[in-house]
Amino acid sequence: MFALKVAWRYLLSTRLQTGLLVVGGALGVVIFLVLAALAKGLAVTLTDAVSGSIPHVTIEPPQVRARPFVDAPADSVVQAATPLSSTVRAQIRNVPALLSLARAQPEVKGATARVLGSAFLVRGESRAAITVQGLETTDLDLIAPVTKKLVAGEADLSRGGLIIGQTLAKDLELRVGSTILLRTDRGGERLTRVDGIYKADEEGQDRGNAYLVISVARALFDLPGGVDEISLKLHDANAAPAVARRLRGALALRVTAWQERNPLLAAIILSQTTQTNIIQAFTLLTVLVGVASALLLSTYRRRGEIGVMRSFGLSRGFVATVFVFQGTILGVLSSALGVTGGWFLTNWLGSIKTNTGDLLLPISQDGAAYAIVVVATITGSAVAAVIPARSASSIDPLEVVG
Amino acid sequence: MSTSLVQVRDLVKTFRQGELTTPVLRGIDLDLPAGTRAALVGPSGSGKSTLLTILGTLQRPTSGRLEIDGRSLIGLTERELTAFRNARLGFVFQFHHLLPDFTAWENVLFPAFGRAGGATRADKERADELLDKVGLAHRRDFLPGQLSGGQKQRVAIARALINRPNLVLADEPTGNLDREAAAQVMTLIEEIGRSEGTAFVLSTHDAEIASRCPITFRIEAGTIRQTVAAAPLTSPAASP
Repeated sequence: MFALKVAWRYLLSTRLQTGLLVVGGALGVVIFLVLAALAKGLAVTLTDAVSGSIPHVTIEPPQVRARPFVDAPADSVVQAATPLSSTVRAQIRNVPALLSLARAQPEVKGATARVLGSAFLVRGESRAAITVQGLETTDLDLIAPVTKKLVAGEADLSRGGLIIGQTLAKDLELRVGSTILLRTDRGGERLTRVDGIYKADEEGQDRGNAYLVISVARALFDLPGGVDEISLKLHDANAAPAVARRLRGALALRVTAWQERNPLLAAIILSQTTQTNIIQAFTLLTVLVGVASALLLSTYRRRGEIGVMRSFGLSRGFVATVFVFQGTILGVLSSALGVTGGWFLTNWLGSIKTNTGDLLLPISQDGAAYAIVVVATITGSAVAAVIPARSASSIDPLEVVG
Repeated sequence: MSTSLVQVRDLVKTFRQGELTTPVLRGIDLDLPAGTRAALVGPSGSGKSTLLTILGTLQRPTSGRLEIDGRSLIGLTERELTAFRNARLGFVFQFHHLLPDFTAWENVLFPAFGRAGGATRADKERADELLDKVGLAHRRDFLPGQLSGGQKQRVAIARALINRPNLVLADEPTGNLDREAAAQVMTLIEEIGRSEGTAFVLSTHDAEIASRCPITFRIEAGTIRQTVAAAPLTSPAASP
């Protein structure tokens, strides 16, 4: 196509300007990609930090509605009231069926039944309030990684003892093998033993969490035939709302995605992503304005040549096409250079480590960003060339040759 | 219908700027037979360039009739005029106006891309043939910046002929050349006019160039005062 050849020749004839435009455009693309990688990296890091040690989806019994203890007229006097049952707890009973259903979902990596309850660990005059998680022995690491964070003892619930956090152990001066009294809010008591000590990432967990085999937890929390919740871990934490929605439709139970329990995190990620998108949009806009202004200058510089072309019968459409092709070529070159540079730069930034060996920046390559930036740069450059193209095609040959 | 390639009747061109009207051409009548050469002479500001650009369909007359090759050009759309210009007319300018980023061969070929479908293999062969004809086959791949003034004008003549036009309009084609180069270009125009059967209208201030054209149109104050059909010349040195 001849117009393409003319466009290419025009770009080559002003190599310095073309080079600067391409480098400028490529820098815009690089900035776009680095920002995208940082935004995604931060979102992934935050998501992992928050969702890494909690269930992605929880299935719980329907919430019990709070009612007045005695529903009597205001002017009456209640002399005595006896609750029908103070021990009836909201619980999930059909556990195997629910676990099967949960595990059948393609997004689900694993599902486990949990008994959860508040308790005190009592040792002499010392006591500590904790949350006890009762789990099947095989599911210890399903929700939060415990085994790989173990600092003492064994991560084996089948031994019947407790696995506790390092801070809690320090507070109560406990070691592996220490005996301690566990007293639950349901009145259950058990003299138990510390089988393992782990170090959690978060101090709250490290100080207030203890794992116990589910059979013992059921007895202590008065749940002989049920559990408090079914907990699901997904391959992709971001899929939780969709999975929760689906299960909610299928079950008459309370199904919650982790994001619903952590709305602040979602707001932070959304805000950060929005900021990044705005900066990315302005970066691309700057590139496109640069392309448009450079090509507009080119139309003034080549006014004579364009007039001559028009004088010997080349159409306005041909002239306009030459300039749109110039914009398109600039977009292709800028995006190719920028994508290459962006890929190397983000990989390099993502490999820099601090003195402690941790990664300096939360970088995560965003494949979609590459596709978006290539399409946006090429299309945008072509569109940016439309104004110069219109200007060029409207040149009257008489101005030049008359 | 006459046998004239170009027929102009009562052609008027008036420029308006606000309330001010400036008549430039005041009723031109002109006939140009096919395959001949005509000089358009007259003092500066007489309307030579205006007439040339109207003949070249680059601007429209205020009134009057204009036919080229039997086709009335009054009332055609801009797109039709552009296509007509591309197919039937050629231009040679005083300052050659070659495209600096394209070789001599590419410059010659350029107007062929104005046709639907672009340049054909035959066009490319013709570009070579024309460069050979103007004596620049050995400068085929040179950029305009690497050619002398006379060579550039010869390339411009070849470019004007690529689409086999019936009429080539040349505005002071030798005005920017020294006498020797001007004589060479004029000889080339004569030879090509004969071999291609193309008519030339040359706007010029040079009496010697004008004398080498069988027909002279003298414009004064917007009217053609004198039409001279000169006898064919035998040598470039002959004068009227």
